[in-house]
Amino acid sequence: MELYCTLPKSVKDPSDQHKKKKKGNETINDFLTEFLPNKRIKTGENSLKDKVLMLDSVRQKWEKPLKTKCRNSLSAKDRRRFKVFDIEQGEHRFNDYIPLHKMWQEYMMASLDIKRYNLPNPGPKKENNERLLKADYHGCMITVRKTKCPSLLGQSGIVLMETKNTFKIVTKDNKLKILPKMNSLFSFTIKEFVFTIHGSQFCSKSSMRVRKKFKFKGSADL
Amino acid sequence: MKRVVPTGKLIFERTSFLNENEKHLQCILTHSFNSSIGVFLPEHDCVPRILGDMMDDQMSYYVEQVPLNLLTETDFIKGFVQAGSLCMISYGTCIDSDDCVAVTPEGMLVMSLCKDTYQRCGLDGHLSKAGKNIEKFVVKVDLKSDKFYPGTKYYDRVQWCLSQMANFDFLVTWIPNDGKVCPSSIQNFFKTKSIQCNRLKVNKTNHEFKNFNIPIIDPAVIETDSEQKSCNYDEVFEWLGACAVGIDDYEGDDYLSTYSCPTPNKQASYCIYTQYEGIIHPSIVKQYINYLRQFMKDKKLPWSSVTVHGFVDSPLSWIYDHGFHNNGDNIYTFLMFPNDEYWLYRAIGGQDICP
Repeated sequence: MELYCTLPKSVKDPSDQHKKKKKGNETINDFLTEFLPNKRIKTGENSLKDKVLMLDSVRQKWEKPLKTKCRNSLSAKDRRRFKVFDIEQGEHRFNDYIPLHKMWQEYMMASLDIKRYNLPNPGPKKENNERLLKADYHGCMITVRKTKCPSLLGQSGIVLMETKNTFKIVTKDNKLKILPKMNSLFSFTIKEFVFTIHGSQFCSKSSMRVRKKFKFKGSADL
Repeated sequence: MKRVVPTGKLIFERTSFLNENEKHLQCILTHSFNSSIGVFLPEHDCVPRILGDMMDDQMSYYVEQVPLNLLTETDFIKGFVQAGSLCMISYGTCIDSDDCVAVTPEGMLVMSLCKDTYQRCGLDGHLSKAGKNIEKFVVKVDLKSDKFYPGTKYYDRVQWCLSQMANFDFLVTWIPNDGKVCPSSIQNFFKTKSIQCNRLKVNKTNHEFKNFNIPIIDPAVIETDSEQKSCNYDEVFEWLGACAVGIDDYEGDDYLSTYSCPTPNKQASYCIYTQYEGIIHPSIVKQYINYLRQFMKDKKLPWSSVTVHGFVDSPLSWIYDHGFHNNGDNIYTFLMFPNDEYWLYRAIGGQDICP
C-alpha cells in the first residue's frame, strides 16, 4: 500500500460532476441515488419529499438531576461503603467503656449542676429539662423501664451510639444490643437521682436535638 | 340498629348424671375459684351434719403480702403445686381496675394486669378476651411445666420480672395428694417465710321456711305448655334466687311487689336454705354434690338444688378470661332429681365467653 501519493484527479478537476453547483435538494437526491442500494431506492428513500429531520432542539434522554454534593457529611451510600458507623458484634467489652461512663457522668453533673439539687432552693426546672434534651448521651448507663415489647424490658448497658430511632448499647455480658426508642421508657441514674427518658418523644438524631425545638407528640403514654 | 350488650347470660342444660357424655364433672372441676356454696332442700328441716362438717373441716387461709417470686420457688412448687391441688386467688383486687393474680389447681399462675403493670412487668402475655375495649393483659406461667426449673433462662426471667412486681394478699386452699400430709403444712410454710397466714373462717347463713310454697318441677318438661303441669325453667331459677336471699313472704302489698311463687305449686311444711362462704376447693364441691344426690334419694325429696358462686373478681371464669363490667357473675346451679337427672344453669357476665 502506498502511504504517500498524489490526490486523485477527480478532486482537482473543476469540471467534475460532484463539484458543479446545484440547487439545494438536488445534490442530496443525486447523492442518495448514487450510493443507496437498489432496494431502498425502490421504496422511495432517495426522494426527500415528505421527510423532515429535526437537527436541532432534539429531545434529549432524561438524566437524573445531579444532587448538590453535601460537603459537610457523607452520603448514605458512602457511609455504607466505608462502614464508618457500624459497630461490630463481639468486639466490645463492657469494662473498656466504664471510663467513658465516668467521664459522661462528670459531664452530666456539670451540665445539670447537680450540686444545687440538694439545696433548699433548687432553682427553675425548665432549664433543667432543656439541658437534658440537648445533652449528649454517649456513655450513659441506660435501662429500659417500661415498654410495649416485653422482651426489651430490663435491658441495660452503656450507650455506644445514638441514631435517630435507636440506642446501641453494650451490656454487662459484652453483648451489643440495639434498643428501639419508640414505645419505651428509659431511665438512668446520676448519684442518687433517677432521670427518665420517654423514648417515643425522643426519636431524633442527637445532632438535631441540639438545634431544633422540641415538639411534644401526642400523649406521654406509650 | 344499635348493638346492645346483655347484662348477663344464662346457659341451661338438661341431662342425666348417668349419661356417658355428661360434663358435670368438667363443669365442677374447671370452675376453680368458688366463693360460696348454697344448698336448698324442700320438705326437709335441716342440712345433714356431714355436709356442715365437710365445710368446717376445710383448711383455707388468708395470707398477707406474698411476694410473687415466692410462688415460683422450687420448694414451693415441689411441696405444694405438684404435691397436691392448690387454689390461690388475690384478695381485695378488683378485676376491672387492678392487677389480679391467681393459681389454678392445674398449676397455672394467671395474672390479669393493667396496661401500666404489664408494660413494666416484662413477661409475654395477650390482651384479655373478656369483652371488647378492655385494656387488661393476661399473663400465664405454667408452674408444673417440665421446662420450668432453676438454671433455664425462662425461669430466671420469670423470677426477675415477678420480683419487680408488688406483693399481693391471697386466699389459699390446698388439698394434698398424699392423705398423710396435713393441709396445714402450707400455713407452716408461710410462717417460716415470715408471712402472716391466718385460718379463714367459713361464714354460714341459714334461711328456714315454714309452710312455704314450692314449685312442682318435672325433669322432663322444661317449658310450660297449656296444661301447666310443671314450672318453666327460668321461673324456677328466679324463684331459687329469691329463696337464697331469704324472701319467704309473698302475701304482701300488691303495690310493692307482684312477685309470687311460680305455678303450679304445692305447700311444704319445712324448707331450708344454707349457704357457706369462704374459698371452697372444687373437689370438695364434687364430694358435696355426690353426697347430696344420695341424701336426696334416701330422704325421698322431690328435688334439691346446689348453687356455687365464683369470685366476682376472679381472672378466670371456667377456663376463659373474666371481666366484671356491670355483672361479675360466674355461677352454676345444679337442680337435681331423684332419678339421676339434673338441670344445670350457668350464669355468666354479659361480655364473658360461654363455657
